[in-house]
Amino acid sequence: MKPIFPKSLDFLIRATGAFLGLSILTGVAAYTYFTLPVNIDTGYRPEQPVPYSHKLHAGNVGMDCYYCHNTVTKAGHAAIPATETCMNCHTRVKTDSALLAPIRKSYATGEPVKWVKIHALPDYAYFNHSAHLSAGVSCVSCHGRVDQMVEVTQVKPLNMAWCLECHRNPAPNLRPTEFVTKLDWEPPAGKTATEIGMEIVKAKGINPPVNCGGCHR
Amino acid sequence: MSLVQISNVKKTRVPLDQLGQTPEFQGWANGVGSGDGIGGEELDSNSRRDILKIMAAGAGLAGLVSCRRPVQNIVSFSKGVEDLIPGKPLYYNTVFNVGGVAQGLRIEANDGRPTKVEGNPMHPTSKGAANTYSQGSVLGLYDPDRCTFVMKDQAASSWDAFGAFAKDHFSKLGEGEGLAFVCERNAGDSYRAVVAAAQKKWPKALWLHWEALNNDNAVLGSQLATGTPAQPLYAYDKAEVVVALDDDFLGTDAATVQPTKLFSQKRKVLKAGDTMNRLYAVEGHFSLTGGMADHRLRLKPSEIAGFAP
Ligand code: HEC
Ligand code: HEC
Ligand code: HEC
Ligand code: HEC
Ligand code: HEC
Repeated sequence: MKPIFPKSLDFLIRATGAFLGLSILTGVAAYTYFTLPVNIDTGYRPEQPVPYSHKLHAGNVGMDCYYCHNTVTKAGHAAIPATETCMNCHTRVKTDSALLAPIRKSYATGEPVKWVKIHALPDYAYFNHSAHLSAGVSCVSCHGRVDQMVEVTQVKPLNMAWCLECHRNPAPNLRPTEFVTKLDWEPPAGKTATEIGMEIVKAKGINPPVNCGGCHR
Repeated sequence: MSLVQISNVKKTRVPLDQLGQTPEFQGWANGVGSGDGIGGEELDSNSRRDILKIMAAGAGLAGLVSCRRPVQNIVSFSKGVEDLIPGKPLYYNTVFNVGGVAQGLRIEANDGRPTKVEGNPMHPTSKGAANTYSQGSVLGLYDPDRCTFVMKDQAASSWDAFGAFAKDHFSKLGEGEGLAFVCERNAGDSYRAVVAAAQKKWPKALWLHWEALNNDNAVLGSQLATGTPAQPLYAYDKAEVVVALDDDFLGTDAATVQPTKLFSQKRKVLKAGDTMNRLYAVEGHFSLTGGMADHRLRLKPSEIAGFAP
């Protein structure tokens, strides 16, 4: 019997199958890679309602982080300051700047300013600022040189692997607690940061959780 | 024109096939006769197609939206709340009045919003306990019917406007002839000071107390018995026998927190020689006090006065 289809069709079918399979695989691989937290979360820099500059306030004016993020050592959250805090100065400095109009409006009406949250963990992961700061982890380890940023940008991926990397070996990221907001801190001459960190780990018995229940409560 | 209106035309029940014959329904279904003609358009396939188109476009756009990172906001206070640490509750001690009886409470507030009521453990009478009214009071704060602004003649006004009105209006009242204040009873010192100041300014004004939950009967009773009206405070911790005549002092009364504590004190037998009180309840309905009673007598409320000697 004469075949209905030519023999060359076999090859065509195989080639099409292979092509389809490959494209699905590359699609999945590309999707996985480009949606990794490292790639979608780092560099996140949303526009804020007020162009508040950390470079100016924390860098040039030299304000301590605690002046505004005052509950960071006491609570899980590092509160964004109340409008009132800005007005401590801005009733006298730049009183008629157009950039500060939303702040003055909020102060007058009581309507809060809606800042856009940059660093965000999913609700199923537990994070606590005060535990990290009292251990001696500086803001710079997790937020980068905020004092040099005009607009705050996320520089670390905040994914689980990143948390665990430090939890398994915290020593290089530890410093005396009085320096945690001094983002350009350097270890004193003759010692490395790791050596100082090891001393702190011993002195305070630092033991960050690596079991699942530590962060998924 | 709507179907509801059509069925209102005749009060008697109209069979569906007859209803379909009425000129109103015909007009509605064909989109003629009435001005809006909704029914006709509903049956028109064109508009259904339009709806499908819009739905498809919406679904497509929804897909686009979900490609973006959701924006979360941090909404900081405008004026900071004293002592507040975001994410941690604050506790306030306060006093809540029901029927003129003060109860010491401790309120948990999250982010400036009261969420849970408990008794204040440092308060001499509540000692950490709270009753149903105080527990429920937190819901009143979120009652959507609660007025949140000043009203004048059914329209929204402001405290400033009220101040201006009151200054002018009350200054013309002289001795306060014909002026009456209607208030809920309150056991607080500042309330008493306000009443005293008002009575000094308008000696002839009336100061009236009115509220749903009161024990005016008991006050009048004590006047009959002793000659002076007084708020009775019962020493349940000393009584060997308690007789409650239609009196739910363990359940729905205004003051139940302290009576419950005192009553149960006398009911505990901790060591040999301790005696236990006995509770008789006479009532016309089921109450917690009746449930606790050693002996309960069911009587109509109208017969209870006759029961008392
Ligand atoms: C004058 C007040 C002020 C000072 C001082 C200040 N901040 Fe901020 N910070 C803010 C405000 C307001 C925001 C919210 C707007 C924004 O994100 O830019 C913010 C946002 C941030 C964020 C981003 C929060 C998010 O949404 O994820 C980080 C991280 C941060 N600050 C770190 C620091 C560090 C580190 C310091 C000390 C070097 C510091 N801040 C000093 C006011 C201040
Ligand atoms: C310790 C005082 C101080 C506090 C607190 C403070 N600022 Fe400032 N701010 C300054 C000074 C100083 C300048 C720079 C003025 C100049 O450039 O001459 C400034 C400038 C600014 C400008 C730029 C205005 C312009 O027209 O160039 C903005 C926007 C601003 N601040 C926002 C904020 C916000 C938002 C807060 C609260 C989170 C805040 N500031 C809190 C001192 C302060
Ligand atoms: C161990 C890492 C780490 C350190 C150290 C750290 N942060 Fe954060 N920070 C985070 C993470 C993670 C989030 C996101 C938290 C969330 O979404 O629940 C965050 C969020 C914030 C926010 C946004 C508000 C909030 O609480 O969600 C601010 C503001 C902030 N950090 C400021 C600071 C300041 C100021 C310091 C130093 C005094 C600091 N952080 C130190 C990891 C850190
Ligand atoms: C730069 C180092 C570092 C990073 C990054 C880091 N941690 Fe930690 N973490 C620590 C140290 C140090 C401690 C303190 C351990 C102690 O006190 O014994 C700690 C403690 C904790 C605790 C225990 C807190 C408690 O109350 O007991 C939790 C939960 C935690 N970290 C969660 C996280 C999460 C979630 C992340 C990632 C978003 C993270 N950490 C990132 C260093 C780090
Ligand atoms: C140091 C804190 C920490 C510990 C310990 C930890 N996790 Fe996580 N985990 C996180 C954080 C933070 C995230 C969120 C990461 C993100 O947003 O990409 C997360 C995310 C996850 C997710 C969701 C991942 C995804 O892609 O959606 C799973 C599943 C998970 N963790 C399981 C575990 C298990 C199982 C363990 C124990 C072996 C564990 N975690 C231990 C911090 C931790």
